Amino acid sequence: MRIKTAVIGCGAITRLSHLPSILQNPRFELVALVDPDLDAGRRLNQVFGISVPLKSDMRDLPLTDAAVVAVPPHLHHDLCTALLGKGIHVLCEKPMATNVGEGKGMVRAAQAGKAVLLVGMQKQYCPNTLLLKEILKDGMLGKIKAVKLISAVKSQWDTANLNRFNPDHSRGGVLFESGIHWIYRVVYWFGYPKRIHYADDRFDGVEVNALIDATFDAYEQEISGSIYFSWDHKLHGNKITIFGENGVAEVLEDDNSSVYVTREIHGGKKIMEIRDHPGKEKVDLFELQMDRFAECIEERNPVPETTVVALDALRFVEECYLHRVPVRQPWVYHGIDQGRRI
Amino acid sequence: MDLSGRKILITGASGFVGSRICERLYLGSDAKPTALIRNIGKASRIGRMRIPMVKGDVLDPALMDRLIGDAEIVIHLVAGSRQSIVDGTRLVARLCRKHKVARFVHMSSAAVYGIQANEDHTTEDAPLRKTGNPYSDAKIEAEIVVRKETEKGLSSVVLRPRIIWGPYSSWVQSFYHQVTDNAFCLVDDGKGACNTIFIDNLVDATLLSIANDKAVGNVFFVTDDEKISWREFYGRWASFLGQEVRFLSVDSSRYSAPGGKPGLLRETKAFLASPAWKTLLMEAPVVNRLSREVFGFLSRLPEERKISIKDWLGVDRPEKNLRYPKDPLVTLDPARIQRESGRGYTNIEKIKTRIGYRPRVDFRTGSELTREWLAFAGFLG
Repeated sequence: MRIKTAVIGCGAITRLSHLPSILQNPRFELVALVDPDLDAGRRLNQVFGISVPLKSDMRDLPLTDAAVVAVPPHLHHDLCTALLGKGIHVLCEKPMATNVGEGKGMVRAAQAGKAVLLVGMQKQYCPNTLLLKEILKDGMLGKIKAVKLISAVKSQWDTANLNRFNPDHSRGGVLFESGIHWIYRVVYWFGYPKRIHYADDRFDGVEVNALIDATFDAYEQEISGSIYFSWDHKLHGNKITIFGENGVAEVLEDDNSSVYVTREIHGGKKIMEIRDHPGKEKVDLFELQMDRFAECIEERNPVPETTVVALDALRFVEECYLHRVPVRQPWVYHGIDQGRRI
Repeated sequence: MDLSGRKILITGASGFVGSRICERLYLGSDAKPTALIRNIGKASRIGRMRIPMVKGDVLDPALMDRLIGDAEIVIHLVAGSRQSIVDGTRLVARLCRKHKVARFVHMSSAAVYGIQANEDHTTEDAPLRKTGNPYSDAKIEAEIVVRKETEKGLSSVVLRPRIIWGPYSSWVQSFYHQVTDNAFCLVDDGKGACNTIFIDNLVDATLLSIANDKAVGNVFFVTDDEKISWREFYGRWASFLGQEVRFLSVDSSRYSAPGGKPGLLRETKAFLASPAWKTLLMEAPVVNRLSREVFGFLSRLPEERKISIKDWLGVDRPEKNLRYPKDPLVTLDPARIQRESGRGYTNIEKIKTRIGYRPRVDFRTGSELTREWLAFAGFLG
């Protein structure tokens, strides 16, 4: 029996990722596209050559087993709790909510409604997410001393609206919107940090550069971590590097499969590429996500581990914002003698 | 004209210049900027502030009519395609005249005299001449459009910067990426004229063009008013790495003149040096073996010998960076060779005498601000 599924929100992420992965998955049957802008739904029908019923109002939602929620984050809580309360399984785009209180409310709604709440943290499906955890557990790096994460990618994501830069609608910028993918993995690999120092470059908008110093208790040791996210320029070598006493492990931003371990062998540094499968096949994270969503529904597991980690990632972000200090930006203030809004 | 409380529309606001103008206006004045953005994703730098943004295109007549109708000042920075530059300027300039905006600042470029800064193009009154470069030619057409609207009453100022640099500058970022990729080289040993303008100096000139009524109806070159060569320019960024970067150089005289057509010999040499030829060779078993031996032989040659062969083939020689002793085959953008081989320094007496422009940030100070940003942004390791 196919899972009747509605897609709520017909923006760029639905067009580029959710819809293709739903349509190719035989376990799902698309029953409705919901968006206040009916033209957005019409365009999707046209682009994909389908004729799915269009709805502009959630109250007209037809009978459905599941929903993919791809609307701005400030709408997640009310929408998802309403759906979950009706027993409708939800795959909710990241970040799951704008604050932890809302996130916990969504989890409670899932438990009460006995419906699955899965959060769209697609990086969890990268084969190297699990692989690095196994490597860390295995101890092949020896005692882990430090972690360094750099993700500086010039933003090109052309959204249909301006919500992304509206702090009233989006809790934050690079950390909240895209950095949370890495934060999810960091929490998955090292647990929730015991100390966080955070600085960013926003004025009264959203942050575009974010710097985090965090300390973790993991693998029976204290690990210091430094994290840098940016949306306004691209750096070569975006990756997380784990420095151990016996070697260094790296997971690259644009490689979902491999972990690269550098160790000294016979006095020379050697790089090993470690994968959990031999092929070079492309990994489609959204397709894997839909498979996982179907599994969770079959398992009748309302709050899978992913959702718990996603909630911790949100807590991490919230704590960053709570302790936020502004970064020093002399290149901005130079030439602004009497900054009237600073 | 006092900027305080003025509604200022900035087209092309998400670019390097537009973002800094937004910062300066929002953080340092009581002006009311509105940013017109085509791709929201690229507007992140403006997103740090609560500047009203409008998603749209300068080619949209209804949108532009509404936005310009609501603005007192328009700073027009649109780049991109010829259509955006020429037709966009035509629409915006016409609407600015229609709505009687107090000032229309058109960001042109010294590239209206070609992307090569020649010694005979150093004052504003030299006749414009199309060179075949699409960007330069589009900028000429846009200036002509503005000139016609100005003759009909538009209160315009045209600025012609050349190499705009500073924190976030693509010139500086590109340098570090090329050094990292072992793909950097100078043109003519970096002796060409750079004609820099630090971003804040350009913003100063823009705001002065609005504030000073004597600017109206004028076209101005604008630079840092320092004679900086390309070697000095790039050398400064290299010095920030804290280790030696050896600059190799290509000779611009080996390349065809601007607008010149490549000949059969040149095309053949370029093909022989191209990855496409190498791929084709590899598909034929006999040639495959032979070519492997040839390429193997070439790869064992001393570095300097390889460079001279690649030079002969017309493959622009990449920079050799001591940190990355790889040997990639990198094609240098012909436009860059033209740009960096020009020897003419632009004269900015007109903007200095007419409206009192003085570059406030000198090369040393601008470099230091840029270094601080580069360190923050992770370019310096």
